[in-house]
Amino acid sequence: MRKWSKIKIIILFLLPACLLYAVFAVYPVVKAFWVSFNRWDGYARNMAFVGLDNFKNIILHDPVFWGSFKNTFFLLTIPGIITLLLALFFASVLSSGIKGDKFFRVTYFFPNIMSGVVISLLWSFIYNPSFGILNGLLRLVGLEELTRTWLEPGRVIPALVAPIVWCSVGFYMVLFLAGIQNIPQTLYEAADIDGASSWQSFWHVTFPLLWEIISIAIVFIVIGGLKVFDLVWVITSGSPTRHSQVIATYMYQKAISEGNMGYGTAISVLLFILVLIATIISMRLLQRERVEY
Amino acid sequence: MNIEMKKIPIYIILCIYLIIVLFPMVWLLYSSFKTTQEIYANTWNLPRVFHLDNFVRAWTNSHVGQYFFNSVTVTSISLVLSILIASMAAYILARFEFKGNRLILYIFLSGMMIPVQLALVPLVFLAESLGIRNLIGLCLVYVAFSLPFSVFVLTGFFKTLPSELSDAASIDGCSEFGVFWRIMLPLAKPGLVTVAIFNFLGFWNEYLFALLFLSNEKQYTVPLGLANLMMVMEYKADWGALFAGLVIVMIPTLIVYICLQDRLTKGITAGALKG
Repeated sequence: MRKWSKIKIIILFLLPACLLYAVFAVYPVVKAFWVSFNRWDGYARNMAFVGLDNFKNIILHDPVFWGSFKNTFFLLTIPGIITLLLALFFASVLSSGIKGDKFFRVTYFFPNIMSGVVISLLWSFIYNPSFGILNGLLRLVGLEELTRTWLEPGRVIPALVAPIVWCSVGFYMVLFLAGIQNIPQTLYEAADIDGASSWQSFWHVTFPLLWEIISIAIVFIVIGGLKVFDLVWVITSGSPTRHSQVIATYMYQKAISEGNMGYGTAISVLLFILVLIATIISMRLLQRERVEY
Repeated sequence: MNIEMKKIPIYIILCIYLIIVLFPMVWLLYSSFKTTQEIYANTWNLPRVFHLDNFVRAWTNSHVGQYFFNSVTVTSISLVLSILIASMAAYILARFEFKGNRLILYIFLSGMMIPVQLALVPLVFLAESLGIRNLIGLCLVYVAFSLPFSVFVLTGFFKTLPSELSDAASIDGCSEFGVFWRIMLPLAKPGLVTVAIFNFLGFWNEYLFALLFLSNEKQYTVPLGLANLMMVMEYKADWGALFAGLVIVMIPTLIVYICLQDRLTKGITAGALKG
């Protein structure tokens, strides 16, 4: 009797999650691998198996894909490095018992919870050539000749560095702050007694003990950066050119906008492989020796 | 005194970054009361009169009100469903021994690594054939794709709960369902809050699936509607309404943030460090 009621509850409680997950996540993902081996315009009768042709064409004959790859790589490294440095700096400063630390922390974090679309709109206002803050600021300080149309196709990708940093610094700062709180205060006191400067105590105490969290942060930045879509798509009004394309937008454009389902899905399979490689490399990085004092 | 002096450059840097974070939002807020002509005339000036025209136009003519309603509906339905379904599954996976237990858990967890782009094309056809390429389908997809992370966090919580409590309750004649509903779920509250915060932000801000699923403008969620307003700006340059629309959309996020910021940052770091 008890056993029977146990089996009943196992099935009853697992069923909704398993069903939803199988139908809307597992099935589409598995199907995607099959689609990527086909040439397909969306009509069932026109689906033709072409083996690895899509992948061959993407890797060997598609300069736009490699352009999008380059842009994606740019958008995960440059803003990533700036974000990490700023976040580390703010976290170590705000944890040093400075007045008003809570106010700074709460304010810096806020942009992180805004949606990609809101951030895109706000920053396209900032970059607007006629009424935007950036050109306004340049005019104000007499650098009229530097004002320009910031979001031209050739400039979109570098222009995205600022919004990405702007919305992510707070998150990594809070992450690092949590990590720093776990470092025993006595280590800093010891460093202080030994006459360490604040830079030295950061470099020799904070940094090595925070390494584990820093490497988690790097994983987030790489995986998040590979999948960036909203910012590029909205700022380019849903039609990125070959200069402003990232992998995720190129995939969407090929598959959904142009109806080239097999080709687009093959791009997403490559994206998946990149995420997988990035994750495995980062896991290795994580497993490096943990410092304990 | 000397130490205080040394802190001044640090304060200057902190305040510069504070301005970088805050000023765009403050500027957006006061500019949203300007007419489009005023916006073009000068970047910095305050509006001459604080009129609410822009907000009225954004809410009605630009349908931000409708988008807002859609987003609230989709987010709340998905949120309730995801928490309920994920906590039921996580409870079983964490506390019951049976064949295949591990395998199911790993299949859920591996979902955290998979970029959603991979599922896009098959999802379109699946939704078309089921006749749910609309708000209902969107809710189901949101719930399905939130499961890996939710199950992951919640199994972690259910595993740590002492089994004496549930044993005692079932000896006292509490049904299996009662044990879950009245004892385990309340004890897992910190985990539920973390998951709720994550999923709320995820659903409320989501753009890609909405773009894929919603073709009827009446069904647009806030991110989709706003992005669309931006994209048609070239044809009808009502910047005043767009500024106001953006302010309207940011207000609930801001309120949630002010009320919950402590729990929110804690939940996010807890979730991130576990994930």
